[in-house]
Amino acid sequence: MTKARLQLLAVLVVLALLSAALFLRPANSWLDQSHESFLPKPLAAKLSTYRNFPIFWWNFLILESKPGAEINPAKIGSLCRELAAKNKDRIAFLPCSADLVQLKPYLQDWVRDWPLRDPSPSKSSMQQTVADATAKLSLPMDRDLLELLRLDPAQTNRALQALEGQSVKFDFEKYSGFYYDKKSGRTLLPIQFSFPPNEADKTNAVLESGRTLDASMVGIGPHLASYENEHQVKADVEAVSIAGTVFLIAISVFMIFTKQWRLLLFYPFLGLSTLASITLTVWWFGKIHGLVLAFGPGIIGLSMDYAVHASFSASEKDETWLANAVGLLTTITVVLVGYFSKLPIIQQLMFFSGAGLFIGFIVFYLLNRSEPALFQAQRFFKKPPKSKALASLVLMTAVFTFVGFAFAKPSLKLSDIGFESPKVKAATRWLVMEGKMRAPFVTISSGQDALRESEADLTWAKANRLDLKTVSDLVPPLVNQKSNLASWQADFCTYEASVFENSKELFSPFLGAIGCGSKTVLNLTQQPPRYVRDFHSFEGDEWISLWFPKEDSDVAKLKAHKPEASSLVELATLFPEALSKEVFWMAPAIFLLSTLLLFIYYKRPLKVGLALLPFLTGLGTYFVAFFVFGLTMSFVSFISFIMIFGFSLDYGIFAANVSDAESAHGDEVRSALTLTTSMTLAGFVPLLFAKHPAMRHLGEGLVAGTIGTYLGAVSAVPFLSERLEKLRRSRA
Amino acid sequence: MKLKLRNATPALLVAQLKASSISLLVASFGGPFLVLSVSLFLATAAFAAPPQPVAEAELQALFAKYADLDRLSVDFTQTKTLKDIPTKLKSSGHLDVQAPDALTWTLLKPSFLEFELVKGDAQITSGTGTDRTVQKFTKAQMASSAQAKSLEGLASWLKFDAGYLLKEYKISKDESGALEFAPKSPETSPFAKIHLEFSKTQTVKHLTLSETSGDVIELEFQTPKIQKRSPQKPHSK
Repeated sequence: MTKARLQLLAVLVVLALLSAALFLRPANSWLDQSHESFLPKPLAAKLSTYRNFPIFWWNFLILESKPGAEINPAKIGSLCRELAAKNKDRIAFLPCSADLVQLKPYLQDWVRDWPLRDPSPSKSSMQQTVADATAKLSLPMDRDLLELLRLDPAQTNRALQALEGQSVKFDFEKYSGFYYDKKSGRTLLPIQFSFPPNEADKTNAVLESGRTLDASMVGIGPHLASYENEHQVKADVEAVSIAGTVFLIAISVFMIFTKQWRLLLFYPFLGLSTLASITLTVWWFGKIHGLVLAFGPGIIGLSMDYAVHASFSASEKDETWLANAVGLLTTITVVLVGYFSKLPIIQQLMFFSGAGLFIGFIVFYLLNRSEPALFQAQRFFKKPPKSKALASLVLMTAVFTFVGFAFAKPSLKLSDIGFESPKVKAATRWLVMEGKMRAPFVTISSGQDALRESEADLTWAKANRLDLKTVSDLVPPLVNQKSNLASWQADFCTYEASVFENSKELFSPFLGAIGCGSKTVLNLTQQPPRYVRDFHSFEGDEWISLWFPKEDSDVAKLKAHKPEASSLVELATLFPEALSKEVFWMAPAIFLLSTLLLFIYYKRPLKVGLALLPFLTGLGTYFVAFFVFGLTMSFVSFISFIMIFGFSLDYGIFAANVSDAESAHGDEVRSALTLTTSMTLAGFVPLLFAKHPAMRHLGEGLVAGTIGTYLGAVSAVPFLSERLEKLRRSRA
Repeated sequence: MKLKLRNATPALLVAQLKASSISLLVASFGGPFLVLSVSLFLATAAFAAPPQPVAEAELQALFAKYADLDRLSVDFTQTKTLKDIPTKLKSSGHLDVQAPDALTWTLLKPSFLEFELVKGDAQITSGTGTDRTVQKFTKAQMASSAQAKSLEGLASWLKFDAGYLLKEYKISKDESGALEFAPKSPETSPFAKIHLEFSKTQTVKHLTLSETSGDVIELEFQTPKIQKRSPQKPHSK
């Protein structure tokens, strides 16, 4: 066995082991689909609040009917009960279902802690309470209601209702557990799920069962938006995969018929490099984001371009691999600069792409040395393209790049890469406009100090007339708990036996919950009561407070008092800010470093310019499409630009190397570029038909960029080179 | 990702939702179910003496005592036996009905509790003095409750609609002349069975409500005061 073959084998074994390691753990333990990766870590931590606190597990289901139609409350109630019955484990609360059982655990704790909230009622007052409750219990009622009244004869829940009711500010007609807006014909059903928003399968199950009851049902909220996005991405990926496969098969058939079938054998090596790179990324970051997996292989695929390039230039093996190496270096430069991004998703993308590209390069290089027979392909071009019109047009697109930079306005909002069906979009607009929804500001406190901080906040909020929802609304200060408890020990526990003499059995749930003699003050850290569950992070000892400023002056006041208070909408706007800052330094850095590398390689400014030209034509083509078709330039578009830059430099180097009139290998390189471009487009064109904006934006950037880059490399570079050469000669 | 809405929605939802759930609880304690209970009570106890096995004409004949009713008032005593709990709940009170669509159901012992229904809107008052609490429910609010029957049904009871009663219940009569109402849709009815006994003057004397939970309520009515509507005069309300 030759040395080259042994080296290849050793590398392949290592890669196979790395790839196998990936499958030792289930995908959900290393696949990240969170939104936190979009933001720098400190911001992401804040943003994760919506996921960790059950208070953010509330959503709305919306039923559509004719505007102005009369509502049938009994029908809505029946729908809710059926929906709740079908999804017992998935729904924590569905108020319109009127299922009293779902309230019992909360009421149990609320009643249990009555002696901590209030001083003991007097004996006569308790006697009256017992008499009132007995009167109510004597009426016909179902067992659930009866049990709740036995547990809470004093109806202490009314205090809770009064507290919670203060923040209910909807301008819709209120019914039992839901709202109706006659003007739009929309019914609003609040729902709290029993799981975090990222568990889209469970959300899907609830929504699907809801749609069997009312086909018009749509949803708004964290769970439903996550579900809708994931659902659309899956549908798009499925469609894109089918279309991409068809394209690839077509190209493969073409390659077989043109006797270039050997190139098809490169795919398994590319796959192995990608898998190994996933493992390395997971080792390095702990997880890999779904979007990185979606976008990264596009850059790793460049390594196969090197192999194709080598196949068409078999007779110039050393020169070809030298050009490939320079191409690799420039792309790695992009990757390295990108790795210093503060946005985790860009960091990951760069690491994954860089590792995969490097591995792929090594594999194909060794494969070429070990199995040169595989690296044979027939050129398509027999002579250079001579269309001056085409070349001039392509050159104009390069100029258009600068126009684009000057006038194209990017839209970097996170919402621009989220999917919303038309129905949801309309319902959202309605809720924000008609329901007068305002996003609250959030503060978080942790550990033992949480209650004290919450108390101080509440006092300040009352003094400044700000609405605040915080744990202290429901849990009194420790000092009050102690004095209240002492009062119950001194009063209630002494008269309990006489007042409940004839109703001990009837009110045994209440007496058991009060538990004379066994009560202590609340320890929120160790065992938070269930009625404050919404304020408590399920992942750590953190407590959330929600502020509801009404006016801008309230916001200013709050910000001055609590600088850390931030609205989640505000947090979302930090993403574009962070990305803009990154682009501001990253783009020039990448460009300068790559140019420097090219200069070291070529030592001739003209060649450097020629090698950069395909990038300009690629980006220019995108900007032409941007203005002609009114595209949206989002965060994902920028990722596509990075990918375009990566491969356009490779194409530029290959094209610039053969641009001299005396080069005999121009046709081979142009054939290689045609084939690699076709393969690349086969993967990218289907993205144009995706409904999810993130995928569509990626497709728009890549397709336009690839076409422009290709035309720049095969047409503009030789054309310009020839013109400049003539000019040089005429001057000489 | 749709952060703006996603983040805004739950925040506002929280308080609103929790309030909804709690109000539901409160409503359920005193509200819609009470309406149902009282309505059934009324129809069967105060007005109703549904006639022999279920012919509409016969039922109407039994109701004839209450035909052209303007106002009815009756005192009652009640015993509720709870399944699995060795406690009997005893109470007493007064029922007042004013045609066509107003009623007041008042418990006087062991504590004051008043339920008023006027044109479909309900009000529940419990306690007296500083402990007095009042809750109000619109027709629509009650209709969306799981434990309330539709107001259409209630109205039918109040109107002595024999057709409606026959549609909702299988009515049978035993040898003593007592009537038994078995709901035709037991899954949606809070009662498994209603047993009705008449006095010698053919007014409702004894009523037994067997709840689906297994609890049983027995009501003993005094002689009702019935005020008929004069032929010239429409309903006073």
